Amino acid sequence: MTCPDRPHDLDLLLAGEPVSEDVRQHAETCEACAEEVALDAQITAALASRRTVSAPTGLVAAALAEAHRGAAAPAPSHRLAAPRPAIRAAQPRRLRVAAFAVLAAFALAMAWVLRPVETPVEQPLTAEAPAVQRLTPDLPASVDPPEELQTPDADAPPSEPAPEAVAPAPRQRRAVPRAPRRAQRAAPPAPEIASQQDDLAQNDPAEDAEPSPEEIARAEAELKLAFALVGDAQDRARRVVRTSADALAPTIDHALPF
Amino acid sequence: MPASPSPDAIVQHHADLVYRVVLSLLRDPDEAADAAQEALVKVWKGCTGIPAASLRAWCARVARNAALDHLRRRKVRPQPAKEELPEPTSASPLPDARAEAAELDREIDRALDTLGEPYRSIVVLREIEGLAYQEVADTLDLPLNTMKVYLHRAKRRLREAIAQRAPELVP
Repeated sequence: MTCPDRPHDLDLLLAGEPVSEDVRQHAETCEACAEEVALDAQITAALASRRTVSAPTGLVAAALAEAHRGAAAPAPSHRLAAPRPAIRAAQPRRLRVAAFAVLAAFALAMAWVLRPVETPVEQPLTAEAPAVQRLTPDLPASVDPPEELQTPDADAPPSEPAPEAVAPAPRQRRAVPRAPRRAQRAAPPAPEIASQQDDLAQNDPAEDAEPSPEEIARAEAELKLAFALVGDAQDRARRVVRTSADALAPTIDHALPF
Repeated sequence: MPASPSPDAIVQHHADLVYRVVLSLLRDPDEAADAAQEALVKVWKGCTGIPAASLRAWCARVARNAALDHLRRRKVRPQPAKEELPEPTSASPLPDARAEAAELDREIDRALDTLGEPYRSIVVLREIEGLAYQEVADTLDLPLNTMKVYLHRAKRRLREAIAQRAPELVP
């Protein structure tokens, strides 16, 4: 049905519009175009025959009844129509709030887990008493009571003979600085260190006013020895801990003071 | 000055046109009845401001829109497949001419189904309802010449589809 020379105006001819005589002649002589014209006429006739279809009985009456019913019914007010979208919108809002609460809880938990671990600041090993007190806050501070508290109250009845008023001895430096408590816990002092400390304690006469230069030199030598022993003990403890718990090395780095 | 017809009269006058347009596009009598009722209610509600000369095109437009709404709903909620209605059997066979006409009707329906919009609506409005070119163009909001080109294209596709599918129907 496809004519190679099909004129463009053949569609106009099929639509019943005026066309040139050539087109009309071609449509009559060409077999393919003649078939097309005949088929188009058939289709047009078949489609036109459907114009006789009418609406089913009762359709008009039903439509008019519905239209009158709709006109009689009051127009829906905005107040009645509003809750529907509001209910629909409340559900996502509730979900959003719940999701936000879960996220907030998760963030708090993560902040708690990932909080910075307090790494103890390595204190310099000095003989200063305040430094020792800072490292051992749980120990009661060995502070001498002030004088006014030591003097007996004049109004209080004397129960016992008052002891002799002794002038408070000047505070002296401790000969051996105390190692940090943690270091002590991690590596208990070697027996030789303990014996040295005992010796030093015994040789710490308060009544000696001025130590001789030899005593000072000896004390310094013993001090150096003590520091060396403590350092050696710390090294050994570090090696033992690291070899026994490789996987926890970062945690140990944070937790241990050495 | 003639009094404008009442909405009830307009609905009654254009009910057949509305139903035919809807039926041609939906091809399902039950669904077409529902869609036509919706369209007629809309016609009743909105016909007061429509000029009498444009009333037919406007009713056809309302009917087409209602049918397209139903087609969209059908796509969203696919209908259960309907069984092909069996051919009416009778003891006396149909005459050849009527049988051929029925076969041509079926082929036309199949070919119309292959046409997309607005081609199918143009064919329905022009060839079935017999609307004027300008009325069809107004109904579909198309320029007149564009509508004519679409109509020629649609009819040519119809012919090609029928000739390809049922060559015995070609005279």
